Amino acid sequence: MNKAVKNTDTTQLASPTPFSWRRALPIIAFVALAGAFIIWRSFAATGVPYRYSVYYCNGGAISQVDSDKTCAPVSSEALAYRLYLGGLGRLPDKSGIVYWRDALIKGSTTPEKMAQKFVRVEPASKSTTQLSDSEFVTKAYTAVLGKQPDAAGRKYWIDQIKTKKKSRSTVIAYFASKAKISVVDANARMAQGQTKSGNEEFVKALYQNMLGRAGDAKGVAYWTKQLDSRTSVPAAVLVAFASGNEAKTYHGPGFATYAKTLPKPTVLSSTPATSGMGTRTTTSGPNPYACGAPYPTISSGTKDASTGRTDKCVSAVQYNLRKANPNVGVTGVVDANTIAAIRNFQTYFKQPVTGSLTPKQVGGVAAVWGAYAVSPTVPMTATATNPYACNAPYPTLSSGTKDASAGRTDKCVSAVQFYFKNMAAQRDVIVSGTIDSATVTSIQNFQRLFKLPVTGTLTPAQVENVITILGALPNISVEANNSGTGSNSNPGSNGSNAGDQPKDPNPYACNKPYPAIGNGTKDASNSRTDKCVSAVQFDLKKATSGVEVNGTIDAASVEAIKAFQAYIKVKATGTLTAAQVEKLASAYGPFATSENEVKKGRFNIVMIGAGFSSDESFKVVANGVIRTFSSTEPLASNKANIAYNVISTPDSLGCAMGTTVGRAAACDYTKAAALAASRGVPVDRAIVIWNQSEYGGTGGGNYVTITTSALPQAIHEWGHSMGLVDEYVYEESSTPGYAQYYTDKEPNAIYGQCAGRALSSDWRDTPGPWQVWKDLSNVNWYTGCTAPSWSRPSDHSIMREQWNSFNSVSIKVIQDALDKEFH
Amino acid sequence: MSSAPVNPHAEHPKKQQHIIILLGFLAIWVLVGIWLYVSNSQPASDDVGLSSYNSPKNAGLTADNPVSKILLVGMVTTNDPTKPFAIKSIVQYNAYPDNQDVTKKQYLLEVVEAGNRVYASYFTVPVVIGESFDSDGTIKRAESNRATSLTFRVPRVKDGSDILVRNSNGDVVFQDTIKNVKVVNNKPDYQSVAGEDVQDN
Repeated sequence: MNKAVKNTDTTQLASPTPFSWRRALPIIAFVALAGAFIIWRSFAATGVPYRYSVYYCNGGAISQVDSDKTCAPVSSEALAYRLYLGGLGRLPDKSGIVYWRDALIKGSTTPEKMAQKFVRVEPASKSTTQLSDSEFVTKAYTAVLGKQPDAAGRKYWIDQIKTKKKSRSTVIAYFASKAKISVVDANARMAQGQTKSGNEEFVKALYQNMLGRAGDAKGVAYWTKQLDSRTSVPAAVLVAFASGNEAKTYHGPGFATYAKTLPKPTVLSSTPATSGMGTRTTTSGPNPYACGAPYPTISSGTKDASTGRTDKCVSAVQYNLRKANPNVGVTGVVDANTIAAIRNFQTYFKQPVTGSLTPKQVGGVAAVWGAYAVSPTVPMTATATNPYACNAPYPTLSSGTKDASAGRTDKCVSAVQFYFKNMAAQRDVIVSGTIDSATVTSIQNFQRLFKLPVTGTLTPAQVENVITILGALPNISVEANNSGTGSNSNPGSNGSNAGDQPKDPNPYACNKPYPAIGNGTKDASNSRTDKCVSAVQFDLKKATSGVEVNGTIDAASVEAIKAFQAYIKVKATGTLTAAQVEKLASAYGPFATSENEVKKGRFNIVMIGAGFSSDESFKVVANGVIRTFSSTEPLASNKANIAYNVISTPDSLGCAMGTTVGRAAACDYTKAAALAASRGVPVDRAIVIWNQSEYGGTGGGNYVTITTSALPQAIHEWGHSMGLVDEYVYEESSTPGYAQYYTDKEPNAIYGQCAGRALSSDWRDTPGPWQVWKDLSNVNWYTGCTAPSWSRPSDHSIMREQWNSFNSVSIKVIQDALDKEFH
Repeated sequence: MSSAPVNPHAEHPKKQQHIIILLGFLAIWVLVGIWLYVSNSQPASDDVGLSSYNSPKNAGLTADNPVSKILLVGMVTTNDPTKPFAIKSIVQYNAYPDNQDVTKKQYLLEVVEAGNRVYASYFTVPVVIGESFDSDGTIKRAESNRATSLTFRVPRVKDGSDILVRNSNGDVVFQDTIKNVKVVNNKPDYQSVAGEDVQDN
């Protein structure tokens, strides 16, 4: 028996488990359900009838003319718009229109279901015969006796009718006698309201709201009868009106106009729709708040008169932003509403949507919505007055036009050039008295900024605009050389752009032959060395604000690709063929190639070797420092915006150990700067690495020194160059400079990185720059920061000891400094 | 007494199946672990990860700040409070002007050409901190001194243009004329690596 059992075991192990329906059934059921769900979702996503949206009309590929004629009248957003008007009698709010548009697109609602939510019409009054026994008794009490029935009386009369002891006419007669009126009058009271139904008013309103005209008698009667007889319901009538051609025709242009104020949505995306710049309100008048150039960076939490300024740039910006974003208050502090408005501004002008304004963008806000007041504390040169005469009537200025041409005696060309150069930061313009190519470019920039036809030629009216607008400005820096400053820079949407070379060149290399690019494709995939995904994303971003240039085709990029495919009238697969990649480059701007790739706006950290025989030998040393920097926050999170540059020299660059104590190694930064300039290297910060066996370093300015024996401390010294102070305690008060350092350094530490005073456990309630700490992670107060009694925000940090990270306050200080120089 | 025989090994097949499944599961995770280790391990050579040094035009070049003729203005501080700065040298290079700094308000440097202000940047005279570092990572301050020399990269302006320094009150505390410019016809010559091409520690 044992042997038999053993054989059985062997068989079971050697062969598959016998099929069992009982075991398989749950798996089969699960797979079937999952498959059905997937198929259902696929149909739900792709098979809905309302796939069009205003995105395709105004935000994407179809021109404004087409949108008026074809797109808007049939789009889901347009339908939702009409249902709002017809059902609620008002324009939709932005969030509402986005919600219902997306619901229609996704198929999660239908026009009929949507209309049911919108219809606010009282149901038609029923005739007496249509009332239930309970309703009849209630109405008899209210209409004839003028009071609500008590429970006992109501029950009594219902019982009388139900048991047929009394007919309804008998009941009316009894109630008439109680009311001391005739039976005729009682019946009249019962009938009151049933013929003049709310249905008729509803139908008349539909005619007016949906078709823009009064309903003809026959039509009103028809639809009213449909409702009164319950052949139809109000929601269905509303949909019938809203879906009709007459309503589409009537609302098409109106909708397109309204749609310009709407967000530009990312269709079929869970990404929140980004807002447009908003409708400009009638708020007018000069900006009363002073903000002088050079402008500051304005980001979350920035306050008036912060970072040593005495003017009110935050208020000035808020005053301007408020003109298009009524929710913004002029508070002097950048709050959530201000950030939202900044994001709108950046979205509208196709800037990186950061929620923080760069100094140039602060100037742009002034250029768009009006100049800031001039701060008396910001020095202005006396040359802001235009020395060139230009009298009305103004001339047309085009390429080649010269001062004093066409019989004029004034110098309008020079006057305009002066304004462009000095008031609009068009630095390439030379006041030459002749409209040259640089001036034409500036004219185009001006026209784009103010949404004028981009012709490169100033009409007399535009000459007056230049003089009026720029002549009123302080010396600002508007976003120059920025194509597509209007809301729509898509191919075909702005004819004047068609022949322009793109002013925002694609910096990412993508060489021919182009690859196919679809969901999940990454830069440098398939053994490529270029960055075709980033190049494609850079171009897609020009039409779709939700796209990020991250080197990987994600959901937002796929949707943008679909939109582009819809534009070029090919199947919207979400995957670009090689030919479509080429079309994209043709439509939105050519890619860079590996030969001419340009990285834009990087923060340049230069490693300068002193005492090294060659760059190659120095690179061995510099590589370790670079890797340490690159892996340390916030540099780790900003890799795409940073470049590490390497040069070296056998010369010692005047480096020497400290004269007083030693170890305070420092180089001659004049020599280091001359070396950097002679090698043509861009420098934002420089670390001079001195080939020296002694241990030491110094920091303070944009150039710092470290010896090869102290390389781990290079990042500490670099921290100094970014505005950080020491968080360790200076113990030796006899050290030279000790007293000076105590009196004029730490109290000015940015964000109170070194608080400059003793804080306690209630520091959160203590006013001071350390209030910023509350918004940062892993921050508390610790005693000892340069001075023994001063306070620091963390126990450990690179600015305190040899540590592997900056604390949160230091990271914020560095990030702010980086942001200022990324632009 | 013809009851079915009791099989003492009746559970063995299930147990063996479970063991096989478990071993398979573990084997998969071992493979995943090996793959993760290999893909994330440190490079053997110090140069690996930074092998993508580029020519200057491929990294670090600022498209909105292209290489151009600049003036490297070397200045020194003086002990004269009425004129605290003096120009030490002015050399023209083919390079990049400094970004205009708007954060430090101790002084404002201006370059004025033909009456037009073409460059303005705040700056401060830095305090240079000398530090020593113990082997345990402790930092100690050795000495600190206020810098006595400063350099600025400003756009190339015509000879005869003015260079001014204003104090925080807007008063001009230094003014001189750009002249005797030494010209160096250099070409960009440096190596660069983009941040995203750096393999972290």
